[in-house]
Amino acid sequence: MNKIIKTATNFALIFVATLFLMRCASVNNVSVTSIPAKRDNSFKVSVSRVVFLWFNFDNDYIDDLYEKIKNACPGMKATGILTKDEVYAYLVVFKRVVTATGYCVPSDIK
Amino acid sequence: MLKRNKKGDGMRAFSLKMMGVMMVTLIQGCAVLHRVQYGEFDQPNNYVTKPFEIRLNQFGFDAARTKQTLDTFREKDEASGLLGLIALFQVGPRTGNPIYEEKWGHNILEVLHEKCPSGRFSGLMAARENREFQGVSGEMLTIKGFCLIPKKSNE
Repeated sequence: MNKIIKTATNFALIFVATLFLMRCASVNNVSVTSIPAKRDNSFKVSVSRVVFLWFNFDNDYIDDLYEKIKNACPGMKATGILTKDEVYAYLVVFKRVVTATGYCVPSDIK
Repeated sequence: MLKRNKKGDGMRAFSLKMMGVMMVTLIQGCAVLHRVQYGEFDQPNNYVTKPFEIRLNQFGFDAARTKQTLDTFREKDEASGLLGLIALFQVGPRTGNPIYEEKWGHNILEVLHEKCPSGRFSGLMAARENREFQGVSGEMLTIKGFCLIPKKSNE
């Protein structure tokens, strides 16, 4: 009897662990700006936030992406930016990820 | 007897703390990001980048959610029926809660030009977000970016 209980507990633990480890991905939004002809210098930056249930009180984390894009292309123009806004759900925890990929080209403003 | 009173005080203090946490949660409201989009980011050497932010807010109201919340606290009455009727007009695809201003965001280009008279924008970020407070919400259109100002003129 004890062996059966132990086996059942182990199965339950594995099931719960699997639920926590497994994640479901969804995309909220994708946008792209005009892509340059010269695509040698590419970059990829992202910001993320982990949210427990619905306890998210601001969206300020997306502001950090500015600095990251700016640092990825110092003194140049970041163009062909593909913005992807995704959510990874781990049972009751959600990870929001905003990724920007693009190309650095010389600035065309003189 | 004294022991029971202490236990009661402890429970009361715990309840008060829990109520405090719930109040803070309700007052804060949950921030939802529906979509975000980044534009091209230019950093020419002979220009100064001046950051700006535009936020257009509207009051949002979800009749179905309000009805659901009210029904948990009291018996169904005429107000509940009316909210149910309003909810029928709020079905369909939408982002956030319905608002009652059909021209919301129409003047966004004018506001952008007011913020940056030079007309040279860089790193425009557009976000659609809202703050939820149990059926009512603050619906927001946010645009952040940089205005390019020539170094010489110092506009």
